[in-house]
Amino acid sequence: MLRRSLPHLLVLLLALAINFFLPRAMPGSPLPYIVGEEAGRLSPEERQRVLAEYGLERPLWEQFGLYLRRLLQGDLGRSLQDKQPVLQLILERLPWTLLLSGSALLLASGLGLLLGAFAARYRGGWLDRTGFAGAVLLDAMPSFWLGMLLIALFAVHWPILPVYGAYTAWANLQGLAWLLDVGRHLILPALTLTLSSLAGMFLVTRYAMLGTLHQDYIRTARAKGLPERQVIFKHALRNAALPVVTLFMLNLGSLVGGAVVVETVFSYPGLGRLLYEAASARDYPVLQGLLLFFTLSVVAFNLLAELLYPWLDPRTRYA
Amino acid sequence: MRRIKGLLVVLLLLLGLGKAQQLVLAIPAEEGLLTPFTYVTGYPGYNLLSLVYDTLMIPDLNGVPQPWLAERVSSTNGGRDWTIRLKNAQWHDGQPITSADVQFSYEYYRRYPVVSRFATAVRSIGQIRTPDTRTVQISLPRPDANFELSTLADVPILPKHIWESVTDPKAHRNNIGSGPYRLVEIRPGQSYRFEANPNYFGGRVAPQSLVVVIIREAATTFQALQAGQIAASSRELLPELIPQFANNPSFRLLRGALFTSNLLQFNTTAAPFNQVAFRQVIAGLVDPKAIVDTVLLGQATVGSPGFLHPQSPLYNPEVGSYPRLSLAQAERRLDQLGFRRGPDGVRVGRDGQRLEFELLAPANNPLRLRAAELIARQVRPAGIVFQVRALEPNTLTDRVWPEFDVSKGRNYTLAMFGWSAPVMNQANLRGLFHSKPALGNLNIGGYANPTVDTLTERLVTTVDLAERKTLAARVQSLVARDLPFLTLWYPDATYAVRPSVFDGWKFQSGQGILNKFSFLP
Repeated sequence: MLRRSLPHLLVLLLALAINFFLPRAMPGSPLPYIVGEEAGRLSPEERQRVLAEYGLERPLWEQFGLYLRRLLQGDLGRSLQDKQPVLQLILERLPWTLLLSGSALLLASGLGLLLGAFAARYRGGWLDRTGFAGAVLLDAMPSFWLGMLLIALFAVHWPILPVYGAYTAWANLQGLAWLLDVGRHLILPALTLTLSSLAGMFLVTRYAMLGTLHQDYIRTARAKGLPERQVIFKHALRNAALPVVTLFMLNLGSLVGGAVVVETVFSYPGLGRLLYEAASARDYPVLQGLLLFFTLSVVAFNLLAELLYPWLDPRTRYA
Repeated sequence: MRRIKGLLVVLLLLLGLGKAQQLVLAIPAEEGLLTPFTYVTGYPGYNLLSLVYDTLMIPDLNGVPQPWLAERVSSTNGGRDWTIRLKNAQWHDGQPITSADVQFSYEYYRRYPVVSRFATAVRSIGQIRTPDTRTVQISLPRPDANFELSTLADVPILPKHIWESVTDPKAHRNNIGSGPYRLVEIRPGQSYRFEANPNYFGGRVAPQSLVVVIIREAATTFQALQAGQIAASSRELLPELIPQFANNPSFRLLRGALFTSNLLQFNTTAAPFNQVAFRQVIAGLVDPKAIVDTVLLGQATVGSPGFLHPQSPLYNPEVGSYPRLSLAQAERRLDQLGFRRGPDGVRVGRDGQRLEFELLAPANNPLRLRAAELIARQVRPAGIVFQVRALEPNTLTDRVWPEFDVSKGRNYTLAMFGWSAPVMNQANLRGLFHSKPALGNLNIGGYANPTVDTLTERLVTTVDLAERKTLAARVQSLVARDLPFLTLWYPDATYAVRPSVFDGWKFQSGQGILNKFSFLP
C-alpha cells in the first residue's frame, strides 16, 4: 500500500510547487484586477502597499513558504479579484461541475461502451462504419462550435431549452420544480460534453473488443451454444475491460477539472469557468487552489484505479 | 361574453405588468459582493454599484457633473473650498443620510487605501468639516479641476452606522446603500437580484425587479437575447450583428458614442519612432477612415489627432484630421530621412536599421487585431514592414506598461492600445502626455515636450472652463503635430433591447445604457 502511494505523494509535492510557480511565471500582473482602473493612477509607493497587502511584493521563495504554511493550516487564501475565500469559491462551484461533468461522463462512457462493443462485434457492418466515421467527426469538432450549434438549434430556432446558467436565476423554485429546472438547464451543456467526449470511449472499447473477440475462449463460448449477448457482454467485454476502465478512471480524475470550454459557452457556474476567469485575471490564490484541487483528484483517482485493477483482472496481481 | 372579455383584459394587463416589473440583463463576469470594496470592473461593475450607492454629484446624460445626493454644490477660493448641501434622503434601512456619513465615507476610503479603489479620488482632500447635519465643507490644499467629476461624482457614500465597525472592508457583506435599487440576492457565478427602492429621492424606480445574470461569452449573450431569455445586455453589439437585430421588430437599437479610445501607440524613445518626422510619415500612410469603414463597418467615430473625442467638452475642432500623404509623397519624405529601399523592397536607414517592426495586438480583441493587419497593409507599399503579433491581453499590457509604472520603461516598438472612458471624461491630458512619470502616469510611449508639460500642469489646477478650453486646445494642437500615438477610432456603441419588456433606456454620452437614469422617470 505504502509502496503504491509513495510515487503519488511525490507527484503531489511536485505538483504543489508547479501549481505555485506556473501561474506566477505568466507575464502580466493581477494589479488591475485588484484595484481596477486605478492601477495607472497609483504612485509607486501606493502600488507597493497594495502588493504588500496581498504578500505579492516578497521574493517568490518566501511567498511559496508562506503558501505552504497556510496550506497546512487549511487556508487557501482569498481571491485577489473579488476578495472571497478561495475554498468557498471552489465549494460553491464544485456541485455544478460534478453534476455537469459527471452526467456527461456517465452518458459518454455508457454510450461509448455499448456502441464500441457492437461496432466490434459487427466489424465492417453499417454500425461499425457509421460509428467510426461519427466518432472521428465528433472528435474533430470543437466543443465551442458544437455548443453554439446546439444553442442555435434548440434555444433560438426551436425555443425549447435555456441558453445559459444552471437554473432560472430569478425563479424561487422548490422541490421537483427546481429539479426539473436544473435538468432543463443541464441538457444542452451535458449533451455538448457527451458528444465531444464520446469518441474516446467508443474507439478504446472497439479496439479492446476486437482483440478479445478472436480469442479461443470466445470460440469456446459460442461452441457451447451461449446466446450472443452473453458472449459479448459476459465473456468478451469483461476481458476487454482493463483499458476501458483505465480510460474511465483517467476521465474521472479530470472530472472536477470541469469542462472549461463548455462551462464558458453555456455560462455554467462550475470550476472550469472559474479557472478560465482566474487565469485571465492572474488571480494567483484561486489558480493555486483550483490546480491543487485538480491535482489531488487526479492523483486520488489514479490511485483508486491501481487499487481496482487486481480486483477487476486477477492477472495484474502477479504482474 | 362581456365577462370573458373583461377577464381577458385583466389577464393581459396582469401579463403586461408582470413583464414590466422584471428585467433580466446580462453582464459578462462576476462582480464580487458588489460593495465599493469588492466590485471588479469599471464597466459594468461600477455602473451596477451605482444602482445601489449614490454619489454627491452625478455626470448627466452629457457627462456634465450635476448635484445628486447633494442639493447644491458651490466652490470658492479658486476651487479650493467646497460647500455641499445634502438633500433630505435616506438609506435603504430608513436612517437619514447626514453630513457625518459623507465625512465618514471619504475618511474611510483613506483609512483603507490598499483595498479601496476610491483612495486615489479622495487623496486631494485636505480637511472635511460638518457644520450641521446637512452641510459638508471640504477644503483642498491645491485647486483640482477634476474634483467634481473624479471625486464628488465618483466616490460612493457609505452609511456610517453600518461601516464604522467594519475593520475588514473586503469581507463585509452588507449592501445597504441609498441608491435606486437594493441588492437582495447574490447567486455565486450566476446572478444578482435587485429590488426597487420605494423611497428613492431621485423619483419612482422602474422596473420593480432587476435580475442581472452572468453570461461569459459574447456569442452566447446575443443568442440568449435573440431567444428572449434576456431583455438587454451590458455588451454592445458586434458590428456584424447590427443588421440582424435591426431587421427584427422585437428589438430596439440604441446608438451613441463611447469614450473609449483605440490607438496605434508608438514607443517614442526607440529609433526611428523617436523622430517626429518619421511618425508623421506613418500618420500620413495610415488611414483611420478606411479602418472604421472596413473593420468596424462604419460603427465608430474616426479618431481626432488631438486625442479628445469630438463630443468632449474640451475638444478642439481646429486639429481636424490626420494629414494624408500620397505614396509618392511618403516615399520622398522617407528618402529625405535617409531610409532607402533595400534589395527586398524594405527600407533601410543610414545606420543599417531595417524598417521592420513588431506591432503588438491583443488576441482577445478581434477589432484591434484586424485593424493592426490593415495598418500593416497600409504602410507596406512605402517599404515599411509591421509584423502583427497577437498577444494575450495581460501579457501585452506587461510589455507596453510594465507594472503599470511608466518609470519602469517599455518593451515594445508599436502596439494597438487604448484607454477606458474615464481618461477621456476627465480629459486626463497631463496623465497621457507629461514627461515626468509621476505626473504623466499614462505616458506609456515616453513622449516629452516641455511646452505640453507646462500646459497640462496648468490644466489640472485651472477651474475656469473657458481657460481650460484654451489650454486643452493648445495641447491638442501640439499633440496632433508631435504624434506620440495615432488615435484611430472611438467606438459607437449599439445596444439591442427588447422594448416589450422594458423601454426606459437612456444613453449616457460616452458610457452607454447601464446607468441610473435608465431606471428613473
